[in-house]
Amino acid sequence: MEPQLKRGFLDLCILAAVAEEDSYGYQIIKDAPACLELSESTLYPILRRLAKQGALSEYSREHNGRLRKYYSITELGRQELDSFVGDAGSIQEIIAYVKRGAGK
Amino acid sequence: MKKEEYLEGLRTALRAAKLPSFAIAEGVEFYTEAIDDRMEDGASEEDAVAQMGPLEDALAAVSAEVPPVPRRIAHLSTGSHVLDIVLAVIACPVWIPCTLACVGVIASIYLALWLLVATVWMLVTAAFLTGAVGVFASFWGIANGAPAMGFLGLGIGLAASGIALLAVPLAACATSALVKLAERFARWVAGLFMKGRKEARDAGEGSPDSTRLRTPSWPRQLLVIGLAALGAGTLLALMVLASCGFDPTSLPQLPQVSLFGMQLDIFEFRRDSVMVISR
Repeated sequence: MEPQLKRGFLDLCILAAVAEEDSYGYQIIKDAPACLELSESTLYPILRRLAKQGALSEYSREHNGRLRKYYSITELGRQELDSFVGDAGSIQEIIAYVKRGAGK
Repeated sequence: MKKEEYLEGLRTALRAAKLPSFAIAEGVEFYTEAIDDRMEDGASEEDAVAQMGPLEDALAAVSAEVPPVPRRIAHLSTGSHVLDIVLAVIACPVWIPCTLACVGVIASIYLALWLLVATVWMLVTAAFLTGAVGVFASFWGIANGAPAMGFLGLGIGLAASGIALLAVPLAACATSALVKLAERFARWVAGLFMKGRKEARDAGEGSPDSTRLRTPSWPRQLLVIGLAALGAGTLLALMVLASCGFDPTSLPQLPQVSLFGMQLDIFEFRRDSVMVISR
């Protein structure tokens, strides 16, 4: 996928990954769509930014004798997701338009 | 590569990049956890480390999220805490005044933006008050044998009120724009110390919500009343002025008003001034 396009979806997909239940780094990578090719080096800065922005909250929980950091979506994060869902119609319109232009 | 070898390499690279110690600790913790999770999921130690990708990617990822000011401060570090403290104390006659000056400038700019908002609304309020004074002047003039001056005051007051009504949507837009500017400025300052998606977005691509300015819109009733007041007030004032040959000083002046033990002049015209004085 085109990097510019991918960048726009990464934040939303990470928020979506923790929307139903709290999750941790590796699980988020496993749950995210494969086409995003999410890795730790891509995930780390996004998690930090979303947490500082207030869209995610983080906490540590004991797991098999070590501490694991979990991420939880906040109200602000849910608003971001709702905003995207609200724009879904426009996005589909753009996709259809581009498809027509590409002759498909 | 083994896990400890990778993490030590990452730690060394982050120290060489002169990142703050908190950023180094957080970055190493993240990758430690990532490797442990993959090993728990069944991957071998070498495979788990390999899936982290090159050290350069990890270094870039951790470095990217360090804000400019903490990064710059960390860059100044000599590597020895004791020496850093000694140098900070010796150089304090320089960096303390500079820091205070920067804080003063930032605070002044922020305050100035909010004072502009206050000024806009004070001007609108002053125009409304002129209208109120004008209405009072008309009654005062009629009651004290100076109806022409009273009606002149009423005309000026009505016109000022009309302008104030028409200016309210403009003032609201200006307020919205100034508040957005103040918020962006505050976010920019905060972004020097901590990074967030909004700061990055506004600095780079620009968020549509943050850059779109409200255009003023006049509700129909406000427009009608404002234009009516402006028109009626202007017409009334012109009629009174025309009746006295556009020489308001020839009209009987309004007597002073006694208010809280003070004698106040309302709409005083003098030959040496063309300005309307209301005090």
